[in-house]
Amino acid sequence: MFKHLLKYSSKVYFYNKANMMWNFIFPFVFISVFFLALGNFKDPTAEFSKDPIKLAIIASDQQEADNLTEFLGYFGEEGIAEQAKSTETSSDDVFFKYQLTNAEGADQLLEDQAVQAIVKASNPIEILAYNDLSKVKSSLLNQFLESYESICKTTTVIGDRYINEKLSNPENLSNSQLNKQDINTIIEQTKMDLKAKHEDTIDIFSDKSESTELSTSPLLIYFFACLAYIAFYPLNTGVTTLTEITANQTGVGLRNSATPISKTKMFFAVFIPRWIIHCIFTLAIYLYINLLGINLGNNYLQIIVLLILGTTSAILTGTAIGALFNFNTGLKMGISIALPLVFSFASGMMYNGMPRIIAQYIPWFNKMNPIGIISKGLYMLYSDPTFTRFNQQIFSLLIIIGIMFILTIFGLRRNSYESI
Amino acid sequence: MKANREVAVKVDNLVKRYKELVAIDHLSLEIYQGEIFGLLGPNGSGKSTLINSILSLLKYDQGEVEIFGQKMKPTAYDLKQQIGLVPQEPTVYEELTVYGNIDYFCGLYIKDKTERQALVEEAIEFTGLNDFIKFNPSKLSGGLLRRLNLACGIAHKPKLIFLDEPTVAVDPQSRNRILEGVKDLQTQGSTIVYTTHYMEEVEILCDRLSILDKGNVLVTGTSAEIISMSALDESIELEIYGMPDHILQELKDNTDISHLDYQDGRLIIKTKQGGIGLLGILHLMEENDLTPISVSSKKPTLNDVFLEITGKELKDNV
Amino acid sequence: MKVFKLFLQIINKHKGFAIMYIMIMIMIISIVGSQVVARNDKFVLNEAAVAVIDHEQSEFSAHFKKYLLEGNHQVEVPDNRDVIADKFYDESLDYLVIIPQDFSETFVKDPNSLDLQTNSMLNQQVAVTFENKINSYLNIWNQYRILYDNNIPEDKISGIISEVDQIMMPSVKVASQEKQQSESYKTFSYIISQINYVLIVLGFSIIGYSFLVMEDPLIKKRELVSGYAEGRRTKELFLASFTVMFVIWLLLLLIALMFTGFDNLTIKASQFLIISNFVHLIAITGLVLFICHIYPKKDSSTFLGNMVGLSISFTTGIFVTRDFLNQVLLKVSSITPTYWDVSNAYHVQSNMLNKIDYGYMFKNIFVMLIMAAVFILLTFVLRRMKLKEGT
Repeated sequence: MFKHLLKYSSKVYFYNKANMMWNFIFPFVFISVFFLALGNFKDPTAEFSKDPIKLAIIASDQQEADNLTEFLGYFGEEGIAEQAKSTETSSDDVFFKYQLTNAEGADQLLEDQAVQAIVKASNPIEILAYNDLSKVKSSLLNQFLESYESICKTTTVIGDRYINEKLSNPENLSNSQLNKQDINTIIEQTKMDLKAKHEDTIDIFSDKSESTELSTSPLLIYFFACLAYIAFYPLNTGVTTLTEITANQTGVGLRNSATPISKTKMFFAVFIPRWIIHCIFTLAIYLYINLLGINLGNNYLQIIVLLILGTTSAILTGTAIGALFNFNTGLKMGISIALPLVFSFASGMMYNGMPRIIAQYIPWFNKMNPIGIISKGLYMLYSDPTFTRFNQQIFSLLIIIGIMFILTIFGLRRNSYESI
Repeated sequence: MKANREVAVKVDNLVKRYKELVAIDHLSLEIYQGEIFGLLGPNGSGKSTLINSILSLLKYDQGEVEIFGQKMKPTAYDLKQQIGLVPQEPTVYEELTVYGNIDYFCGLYIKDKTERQALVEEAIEFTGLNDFIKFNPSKLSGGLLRRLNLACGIAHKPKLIFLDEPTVAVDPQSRNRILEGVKDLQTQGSTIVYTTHYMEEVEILCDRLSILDKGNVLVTGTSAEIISMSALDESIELEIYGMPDHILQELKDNTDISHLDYQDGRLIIKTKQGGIGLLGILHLMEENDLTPISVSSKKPTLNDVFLEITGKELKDNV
Repeated sequence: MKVFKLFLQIINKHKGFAIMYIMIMIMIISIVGSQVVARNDKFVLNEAAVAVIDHEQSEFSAHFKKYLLEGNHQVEVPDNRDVIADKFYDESLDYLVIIPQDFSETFVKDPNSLDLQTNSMLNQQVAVTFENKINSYLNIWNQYRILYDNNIPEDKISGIISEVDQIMMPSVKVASQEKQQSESYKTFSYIISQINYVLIVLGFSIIGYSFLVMEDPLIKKRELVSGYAEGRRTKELFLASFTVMFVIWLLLLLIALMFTGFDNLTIKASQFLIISNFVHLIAITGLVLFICHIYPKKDSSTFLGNMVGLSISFTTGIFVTRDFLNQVLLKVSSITPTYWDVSNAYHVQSNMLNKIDYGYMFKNIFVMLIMAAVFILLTFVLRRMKLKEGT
């Protein structure tokens, strides 16, 4: 009897074209789009080198201009013309291209979109105008110029202090300026700082992951959240599963309820094949992510366990909703789409700052957000070598699974209904 | 098959409320084994609610339901094993073929694969779906779909079958097939509870019937009993010229005749059921050497009785 | 207007679903909006949660702590390994600095043996940024150490601290800031591009669904038989779809303005953004109706909205900034009207107010208008074809 039920519930599920389309094709499409969209991170520095920030420098003060261009020389090159592809001078260090000019010339260059910003070499330095300068690039430019300013200010302040206090050790300062070694140190730091802004996802690709094992990037958080979303996506399968065996929801539900099969038996018969196939499918997506070259860590077994539990919690959350509430089909579909979206949003899939905000304002939500738990579990596996915190996530998922299972059975045990 | 008097379904003082609305109002009913029992009632009279309550799919507020002498509960699986349900709307899986659907539902009752296979094939034969076994329901016409719906409910040869308006919106061919099938099921020993809007179906099929309205059983009995219970008159019309006044007076004086009108050779008489009747009137004419040119008589139908009782027209619930 | 009213009635019948979806989307917009407004400073990409445990409690260490916390969110933690680790994993802490008891003394005497403990878990970016920040600070102090021959006199510390403050104080002037111009239009541009995601999802889930219910052959046939001309029916259906979308858009726009200020209505850039977003609304509604004619499955409309919404949002730069996106895919996404509207938002974000090229924005609006016209026209053609086929 149970075998008979299993056979037909599997058939009913797999022969449904909409199920196949939305539960199996969509996640693949989504992951592919997600990967392609963020694929630029594979080598962001190279991308950045292809498109350095172009500056027009107005030399209102020749000394200031010389100092600035000398400093700029460490990070880029003079001349704003496009380089031929074969040129080998372009390297990771080319963050800027600049041209010294006067005010009119700079305006014209900006007008012609030959440069993206006009910088006036003065004290203090000024960004007079900018055009087509993205938020990230404007942030970089500002940070760079601030570093330059701090070097200038340090030089001046210490120089002044030396002169005022007539210190006895002038050999440590060369004409009230920082020595070359110190400048180089600061320059190296500035370079690192600039790169840090851009290289924030290099470690998601396996070939570069070794050096950054204990840290993760915001982009990796996106991928954790994305995989967690896919693992939790079968929520809608859980919701629709129950409609088939609940008398007050569908015609077949009514018919099935009139048969001599217990609700629990029927529930397991429809649940098990769907659970198995969705677990396999979630793992297939994980495999696919690995094939795409995204390294989510080497704890494969733990990741598999986590994803299976995630998918189980999704289906059981769906069955609990289906068993407890008698919504119409449209609303059910809406909930089964909206809930994973809300959970994934809270886990940082659309905005990576969200987990922090949630942790700050509604910390309890993180504890009951299954996508957040899966996502965090992946993160723990990646960063915590002890498994202690990963095990906590597993435990949280098991609690959710337990609660949802009890709620499902509780809802199902209502064998007769107030209305049909 | 004549109905024996063993009770198949006993409903006692059943009450079902939807908040303020009383859907079933202290309803009692007995359905005997082996009979085809008709449930007649206008839309919203409580027919489907009654069936769902009998099957324990709906919670009811008061009363008791017994099937084959046992109390019916949601977990009375041994009783459910003997019941077949054919819902009003065709309720099958779109994803399964005709064969798959029948096999699936039959398999919920019959464990043995060989036995089940034989039963499924029998149900297919019974409903005339032989040429469509590999079709998906979406490819079937309305009539064929209803036949599939029927096949899914009866394939396991239940002792008690609930047929909820199985012939709504089907073509005459499919309807006849279904009606014949229902009769055959009775012949095979099943008790059938049949709800419908079609009076002729009830008159043809049902051994007994109940008329329901507002959750109440208004009347229960055979078609003839119900018609005879009605206060409606038989209308007799004769074309006869030169009616003597004393005969007209004699007819007027007859207490069985409620109405008499004679104009231009047309005599219209309304006589109470069981009273003088057409034969009595013709006998009177013969005695007085009167020969009517034409005679017609119209007895009240179940539909007239239904209208009289419920005050509502029966319409297809589509 | 029977068809128009019926359309609204269908939406009303599914109002539970519609309200739920609209509320979720409003919540998303509100949270993102509030966060964007909270870090209005366009040059700050991320505000980190930082904890500094100061064991020295000296003037020097206090200043160092103040410097580290500048522009970041301070988190109080005890010096307990487990509690700190929990904070890291709760995502309530990004970076931790533990200043040892003899911090300044060690630093002044031998910077190479400096025992400054730092820890970060969340991401590499924060770690590198903070390491550089610390190094910059210590480097400046290093200059003073060299200046005073590895022995900074106690009485000089206060003076140096104020000098270091001066050095570290941001001094680069940005033209628009100098002119005291409101930057709220940039925040507005960010939020308004988020609205696009919401509109796509709601477009399919609410409009698409209701439209497909109306296109059910039985309902359609009944209306046509009742003497309602197909042309008139189509017109009313389209009008109802656009009206509902417009109302939803208006609601979302109102929220965006609530977060960024109604003054935006007087800024030309914002006005252009509103026009652009409105035209995008028309184009997206056209796209929704067009897809509903190609794939007329009402039960799939929510799924479809989810898929299309997420795909478009990730490829056009709504969720992740375009600097980080695959440029080829970004170009491919230009087949959607959203690309052009988001381009306008980016244009406003990337330019000073007086450098905004309204011709460029108008061109993008025009492209969306063309797209809207094409989608609507194609939808009409499809309807005509289906009518001829009798389906």
